[in-house]
Amino acid sequence: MDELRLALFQHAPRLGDLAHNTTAIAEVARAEAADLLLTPELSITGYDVRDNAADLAIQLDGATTGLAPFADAPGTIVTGLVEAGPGGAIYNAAVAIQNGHAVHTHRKIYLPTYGMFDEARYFARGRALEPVTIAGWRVGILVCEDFWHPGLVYTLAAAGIDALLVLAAGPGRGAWDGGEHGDFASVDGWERIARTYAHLFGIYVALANRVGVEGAVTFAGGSVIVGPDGGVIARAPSHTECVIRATLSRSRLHSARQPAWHGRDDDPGLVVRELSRLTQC
Amino acid sequence: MLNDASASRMARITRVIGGVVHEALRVTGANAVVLLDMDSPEGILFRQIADAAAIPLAEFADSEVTLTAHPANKTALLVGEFQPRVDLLPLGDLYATQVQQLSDGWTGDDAVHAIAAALGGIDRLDASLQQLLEGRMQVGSLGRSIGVVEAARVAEALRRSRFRRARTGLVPKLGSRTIGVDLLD
Repeated sequence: MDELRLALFQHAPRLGDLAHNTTAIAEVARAEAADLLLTPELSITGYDVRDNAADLAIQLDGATTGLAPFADAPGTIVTGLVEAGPGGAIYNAAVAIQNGHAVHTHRKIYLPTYGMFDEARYFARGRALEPVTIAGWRVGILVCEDFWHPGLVYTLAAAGIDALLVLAAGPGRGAWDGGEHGDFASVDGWERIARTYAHLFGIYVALANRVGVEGAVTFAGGSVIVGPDGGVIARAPSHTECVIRATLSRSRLHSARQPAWHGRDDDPGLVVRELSRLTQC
Repeated sequence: MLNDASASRMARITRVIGGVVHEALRVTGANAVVLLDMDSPEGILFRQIADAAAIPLAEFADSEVTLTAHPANKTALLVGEFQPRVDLLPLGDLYATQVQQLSDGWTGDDAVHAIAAALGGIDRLDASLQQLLEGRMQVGSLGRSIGVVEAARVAEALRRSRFRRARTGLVPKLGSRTIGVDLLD
């Protein structure tokens, strides 16, 4: 498929209300009828689930009913939920859903547990990266804090992805400092990184950051879809629940990569060798 | 008088605060009512009596089945002697000078005024607090900037309020370190 119609739902989930949240996402999926619908981190549960995580967790293998509302949704939905993994482990996960069934899962690897964050207290850590093919496009998926670890993005880029999907629940910080593209300075930080990755690796980057309020925290929004030349294709405002859209094209990938083939010339083998040598105890 | 940029920022910040307050009220199902203007003579008297007798304002509000709020700013919460025992502190992540830019005034107890005067004004106090907290500057470095005695006084005021701050009401997060959210020490 030369083109992929992407819709990004900047969602404001209700904390702990699975029925409401899945219904809202499924309705957007049906209305947009895109090849791929992307939503933010923990869209199905809300973010600050704490020790309700086990009660809200969805088991993705076997006879799962938690994804039933997506059975008649067109295309692929990539959304965030709490996964009940094997052995009782609970994960903050992104899942790709087709016809109401999970076809791919990324378990969040880096769980922020500092400052205002306490995720490692409630979730187990993911241990693997795996690209997935959606509508003929090779796609990498990361969840929030993963995005701030360039080694993960490098690894996915080395695996030949065309697009990177990021599900985030980034709190708004720096209201007084403002921001170029939103009410919070933190929104600018996310966008700068998205544009840099896209430009460096010649890939599309779609960053879905949630909106809404939980307790003292206002989630910032400011979701973006960035082209492989680092240019912003679509940008959502702060605070507002909305959908932004873009059509991803292989010709634009080719045009962005052709002038400078950093990706072609890159040498992951060298990186692996040198990392092993430099990090040996 | 606010300039256009300040007015725009005020509108945005008010919207953020409004979102938090609205959410809190929606979740609890409570109704917002003004129990007492805490800056009125009656309010000041009540505050002093309540503080002296360690009577939480929340107890007064219980009979009304409502939430309580107080307009204390971040500077006052950090270095003041008075810790409002309320559910919501909607201005609690704005320094006094930021509140002043929004409303042409700021409030703080005697301790805040005293330390501000010692440092040469509320602007210098807020700048020092921001350097220590948001900028993660060490007290020694601040001392080289504003004077060793003055820096030590700010640090001591922060140290004295640390346990009071741990019992704070809900402060809507606006800055990079927010009392009760990620400014816990």
